[in-house]
Amino acid sequence: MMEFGLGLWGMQATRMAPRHHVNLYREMIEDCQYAEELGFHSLWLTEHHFWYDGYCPSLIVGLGALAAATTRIKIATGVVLLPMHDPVRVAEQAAVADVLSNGRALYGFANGYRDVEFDGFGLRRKDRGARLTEQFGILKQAWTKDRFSFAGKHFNYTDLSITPKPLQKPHPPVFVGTSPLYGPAVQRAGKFGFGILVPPTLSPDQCHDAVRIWEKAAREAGHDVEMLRKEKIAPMGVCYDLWVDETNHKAEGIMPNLRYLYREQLGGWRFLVDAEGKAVAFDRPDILNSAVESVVTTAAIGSPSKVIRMLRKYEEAGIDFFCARVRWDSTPRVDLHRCIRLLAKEVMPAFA
Amino acid sequence: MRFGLGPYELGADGSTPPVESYEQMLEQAGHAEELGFDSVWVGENHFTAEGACSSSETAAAAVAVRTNAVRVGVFSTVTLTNPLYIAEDVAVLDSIANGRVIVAAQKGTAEELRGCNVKAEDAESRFVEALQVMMKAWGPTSFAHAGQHWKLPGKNLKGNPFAEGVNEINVTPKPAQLVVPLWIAARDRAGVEQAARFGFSWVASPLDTFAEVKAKNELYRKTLLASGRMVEGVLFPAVRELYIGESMKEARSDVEQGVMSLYQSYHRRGLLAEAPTSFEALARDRFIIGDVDHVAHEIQRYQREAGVNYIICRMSFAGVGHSKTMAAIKFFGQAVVPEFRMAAFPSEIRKRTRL
Repeated sequence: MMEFGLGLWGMQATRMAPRHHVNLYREMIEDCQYAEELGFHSLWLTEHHFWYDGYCPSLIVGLGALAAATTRIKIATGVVLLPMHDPVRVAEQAAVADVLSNGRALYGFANGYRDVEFDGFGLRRKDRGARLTEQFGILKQAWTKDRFSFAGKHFNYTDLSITPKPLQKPHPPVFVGTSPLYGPAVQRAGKFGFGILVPPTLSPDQCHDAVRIWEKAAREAGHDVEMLRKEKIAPMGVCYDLWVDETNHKAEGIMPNLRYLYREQLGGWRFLVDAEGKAVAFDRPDILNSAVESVVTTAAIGSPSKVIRMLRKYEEAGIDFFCARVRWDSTPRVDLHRCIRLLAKEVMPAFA
Repeated sequence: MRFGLGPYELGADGSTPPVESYEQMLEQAGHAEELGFDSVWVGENHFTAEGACSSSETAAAAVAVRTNAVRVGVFSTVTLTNPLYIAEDVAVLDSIANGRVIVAAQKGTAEELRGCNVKAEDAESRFVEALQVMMKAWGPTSFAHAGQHWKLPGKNLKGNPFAEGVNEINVTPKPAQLVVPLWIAARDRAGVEQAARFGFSWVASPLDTFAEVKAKNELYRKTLLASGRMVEGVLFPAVRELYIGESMKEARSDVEQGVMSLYQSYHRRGLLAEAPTSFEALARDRFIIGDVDHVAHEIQRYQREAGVNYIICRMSFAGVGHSKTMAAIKFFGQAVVPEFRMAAFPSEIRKRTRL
């Protein structure tokens, strides 16, 4: 059975749609309540730091708010950029949100990639992989052991007991977010017995490959792969850019909103490079726009039957969780709510 | 006089599972709002044997959702980690709370500092520097900070082609309030003086005796004036163990066990020098526990003699039970709060005569 979450709420007040953040957070709560009513599995928040539009930097505080506003839907981080954080602080926050939500918290973690974010915290981006591996070990121990110690290159703790402990046992489900180069992250997830969340640009074949790599790494680490998958302790997830409307033609109306958001982020965040390795920003609109097109053309945009056909290929590739990325900045909320209503009523039943 | 509820420590009391303690706090917060309280507070304590809440910002986000008007207070230990994390968490919390947040900054216990690998002798300088970083982070512009403990942004920009030339950062979103009220929750003399010099309120700990609250408020007032600041309009808050029952005897018997175990845990954490022996010794000049008249008189004494104008009442104690705590909050709101809100009226008018 395929499960559907909704993403990604980042509470951004972009140039296209500047809003006061108090409104954006209130809407996050209302959207989550509506998603719960429609029967979605989960709602996912997204994190970045120091970006002009107020992109949410503190996802677990956001989960605290959602926990108090809902009762059934799972609430998730998609994703906490863990290497930039203090792992003990994250372990504590995550446990508090799990208790507040009566055990409904899911935690997605990933590397992060923007240089200015690592620099901002006084950290080195090149340490991110090593930090993440140590942090996974710390989180697992902090959540499951009464007291723990850890000796690593980046982190050292002696005889600590974090409180409260999470409500979910052994600990809340963890998803490891990956970049389009998914290999190392998927292997790390397998090693720890955690789930995966791959990006929207991966093809069904690549997803199939990712699942295979994960299973191999998990088996080698001694995990019971069948149990982890059957019990949904380690979901194989894809975060997929998506928009459903009554007809294909109406759904295509979302394209400008996707393009504005991706152009601004790919350009402003300067993580694209040209053939010479030089940073690409708004001064290179040709390269920027072709990169944006390659992202937006992979999105599942269309009528319910078209979206079902596209998602079915991922299901066949071994994916059992979709985070449908439907919250496109600058989209009227009445349209967003129509989209998720159609997703719940016309698409989800096909995968039940 | 203003009134707060809390801070909630949310430690396990052996009979209530954590998930229920958090749920009860949220119900009590909504109840307090209806009954005229001005704020609800969540505490932050790390690595305690009691299993206390270790992330006040996360729990306070839930309080913010369940209330509309009260301020949402968080105690936050600012010495343990990069203060940018706290600045970001509070900014998000303030957006969720529609600008109702107050932050009371703590220095951390010996065990908390040890656990986070912070040298005890660094706590003081980290505390001051963390507050400076937080204020810069909440300010309207991007900033750089070069201090003894933190250099932000770090000096890793070389070799990062995408971040070259970036030497300031801008923490976003900004808090909903133009200025987030910062209070200092530190019992030592340095803490009182720091609060006055920064122009922040100093909040008395429940461990401070009446005489200590009075002396520290005098020191605070003097330092405030010496720093060229006004005293008018400044809040002088104090956290007190406070409980109200039908009679003195009933109030005491309801909470005695819970209060004693809390203070035994303070002793274990090194916050209270001497092991607590008797309830009377602890209660004298520290707790406000009794019937309506006693509670009102005690608060008046703090107001008149110790300069306190904001009492934060911790009314939730282990073993008392949710419904009794809810009743005490209601009783306090209906019988004690009017004594202060309607002080100019004759007592026949402002007094609540029956339960």
